[in-house]
Amino acid sequence: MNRCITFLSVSALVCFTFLNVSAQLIGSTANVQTPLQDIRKGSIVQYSIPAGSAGEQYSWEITGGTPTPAASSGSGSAADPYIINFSADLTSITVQWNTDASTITGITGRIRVQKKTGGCVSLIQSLDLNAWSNPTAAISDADYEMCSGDATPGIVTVQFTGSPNFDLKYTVKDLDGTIGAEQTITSVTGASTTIPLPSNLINTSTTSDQTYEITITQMNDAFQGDGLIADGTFKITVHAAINTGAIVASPASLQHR
Amino acid sequence: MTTMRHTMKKHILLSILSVVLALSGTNLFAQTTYGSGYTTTQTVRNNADIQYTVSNPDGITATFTWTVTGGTIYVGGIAQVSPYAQPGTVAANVSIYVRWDNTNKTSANAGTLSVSKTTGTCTSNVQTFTVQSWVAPLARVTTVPFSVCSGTSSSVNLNFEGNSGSSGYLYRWRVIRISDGSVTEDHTAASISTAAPAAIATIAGITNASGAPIQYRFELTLMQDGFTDVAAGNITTANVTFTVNPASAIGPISSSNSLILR
Repeated sequence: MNRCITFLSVSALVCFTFLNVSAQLIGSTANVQTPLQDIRKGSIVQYSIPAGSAGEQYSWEITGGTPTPAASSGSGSAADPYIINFSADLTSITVQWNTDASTITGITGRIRVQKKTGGCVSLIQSLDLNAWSNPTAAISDADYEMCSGDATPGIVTVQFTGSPNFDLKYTVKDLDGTIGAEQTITSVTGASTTIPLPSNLINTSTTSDQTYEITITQMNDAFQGDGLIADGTFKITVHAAINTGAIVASPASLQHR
Repeated sequence: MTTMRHTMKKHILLSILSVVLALSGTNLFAQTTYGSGYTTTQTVRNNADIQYTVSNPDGITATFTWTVTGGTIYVGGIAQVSPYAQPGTVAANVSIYVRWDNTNKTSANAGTLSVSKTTGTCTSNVQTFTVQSWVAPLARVTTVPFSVCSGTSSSVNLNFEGNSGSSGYLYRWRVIRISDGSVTEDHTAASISTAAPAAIATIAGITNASGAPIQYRFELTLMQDGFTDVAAGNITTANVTFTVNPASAIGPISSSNSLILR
């Protein structure tokens, strides 16, 4: 510090600059990578940069996730990102990205890195990202029992998480036990969709219940890979029709001659 | 006799009233006429020999008595003690030189110059005007050669020392890339100005993407104080070289995991 004060103004400026190295990356100019990176909330991702010469120092700044090695300062927010101070040969870190309660909206994050060589720092390399919930689909309606011939609820609701748009595939097993062709619903932009039901169901058996079943077979959000089907079946139990029997009169009806 | 005295006195007064002081050397202004009814304050530089001339249009042989404070009278290159009596001949101008003194660097020294004309037992009114003497400004670049990082600082400070002259200092400067002589920053038209003897020029950050250090030279091309007479001649140290280190490349950030759109 004393050396800095005794230097001329140019040197003093440089010294002053590097006194703040531990607080933040130096300079405001950044090389921002495109496109944005998309990752899953809560995922652990390793980030690397090309290795330079031995002994070069690197500082990392992380917003929206928790780095390893541990940060030297910061809270991870946009206003106060985590900072890993300049460390020799630190060309790779891992980050566990935050989670939140949101379902189909992403949360932003950012990772930046800067190199210091011979007293000079590089431009900041910056990578922005969006973190999305894991893709899931779940039927939100409870199984249902009804009498033969009664009206059905009309629809079954499926809830999604992940990044829109969503695609859904499902099958229907009718009351007679036949399974129909796989059905597809595509390009769902919201957090839910509905599967139509017959307006009423008639049990053709007189002795046993019959079931009408919907089974989700596949879901996807905007990214590659199948999502998790958290609650994938919906069943309507249609009870057997009750046979009350014929009316018998006594004495019997008169007979014509 | 009365008429003759009256005529003589009139001639003396006319002579004095037509005093013409032809200023030369580093005078702050072009030739200017001073005297009764004219500007009575002159601004000059310290140590500059200023010639003052009095016409003698009435053709009367007389003695001109010069009195100077704050400076030294020179005649024929020889210093004279003030007051200095100078004979005036018929129809000839008389003149002296005055070297004004000032030991104060950043404030003016007040001097006076007066002259009277004596013929026989008659002496004219004394014509006096004041002189403001300024030490010439001096500028030098005080920053030693230095290095800066490419793009990492938006400015570099350079100090100048203008340790004399009138306030209202003005500097003009430029930055030249030594390898090809190209001017990368030019403040020869727009200049910085300050009221203090010290000034700071701010050089915009220079990006060096060449991969090797690049040498530049800062050149102080002009320094003036509050007057317009002094140019680059008063700059004792005009240049300083500096090195812009190359920007280090960091390369893209790669990740172990990234989602891919369907």
